[in-house]
Amino acid sequence: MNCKEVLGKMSEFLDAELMDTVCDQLREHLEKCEHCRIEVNTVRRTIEIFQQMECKSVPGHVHEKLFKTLRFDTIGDPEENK
Amino acid sequence: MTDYAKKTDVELVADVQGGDQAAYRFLVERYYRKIYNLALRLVRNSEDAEDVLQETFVSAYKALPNFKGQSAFGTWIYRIATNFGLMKLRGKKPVFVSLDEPRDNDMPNIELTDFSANPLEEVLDTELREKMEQAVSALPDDMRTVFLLRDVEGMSNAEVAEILDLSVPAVKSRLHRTRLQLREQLSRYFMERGGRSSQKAMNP
Ligand SMILES: [Zn+2]
Repeated sequence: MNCKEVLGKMSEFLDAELMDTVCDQLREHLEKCEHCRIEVNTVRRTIEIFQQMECKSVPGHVHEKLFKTLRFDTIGDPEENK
Repeated sequence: MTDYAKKTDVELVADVQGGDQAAYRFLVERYYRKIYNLALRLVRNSEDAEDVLQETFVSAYKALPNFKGQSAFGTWIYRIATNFGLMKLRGKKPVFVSLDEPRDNDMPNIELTDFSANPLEEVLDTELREKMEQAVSALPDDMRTVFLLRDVEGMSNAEVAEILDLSVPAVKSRLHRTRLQLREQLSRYFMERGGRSSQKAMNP
């Protein structure tokens, strides 16, 4: 496997979607090619970083409006005993 | 009293279909935060994200009697939300202009910093998080959609393909291009950040 092929298959490699034989060829290349190692490591890290994207909380008024629209307020929300 | 919180999506869907409207509330509670976050990053403004959130759960409720469960409820609700989000975007400007030809060949061979060495917890600070939001927000609509569903929401290639009516290879190729693009941006960012911190070390 050459560098260009490695770059094309990186994503599938990281997602464990390559056939074992192809995977072994890729690993073999990585062992002797530092450039491709950095390529693969940085893409892996990129994925790891973006997996940590925050799940922000929903603003109170947005939540309230949604539950009103769906008429959940009539079922009785413990927080709405005003 | 029924303990809805312990029920699976499949059970809650069956409850709603059997006429128990209260069960829908628990499905909404399980997903509305995720849907809001997806919508916000997809449409990139809070007003439209709020609309998408509302439209998603209203139309899902109406469609639920016909939901046969061929796909998981989660996939189905993401599909509805994604479609509403894309409709919002289409109303604003043309989307899906970029096609799926591999562009790796004309990608300039930039100098990469190896930013993979430091522990994740060390690098993930407010500044990087801001950078990440900017980078995702700057992606073309089609790439952003695939990336959000696949890498941020953690869906499978097959699920994303189903949600977007794309083939699995098309999802993979878009995802690959997007990851490379985001990687270049992170690389540039970490290079600049490294420069800043070594400067600080020199002139404390
Ligand atoms: Zn190589």
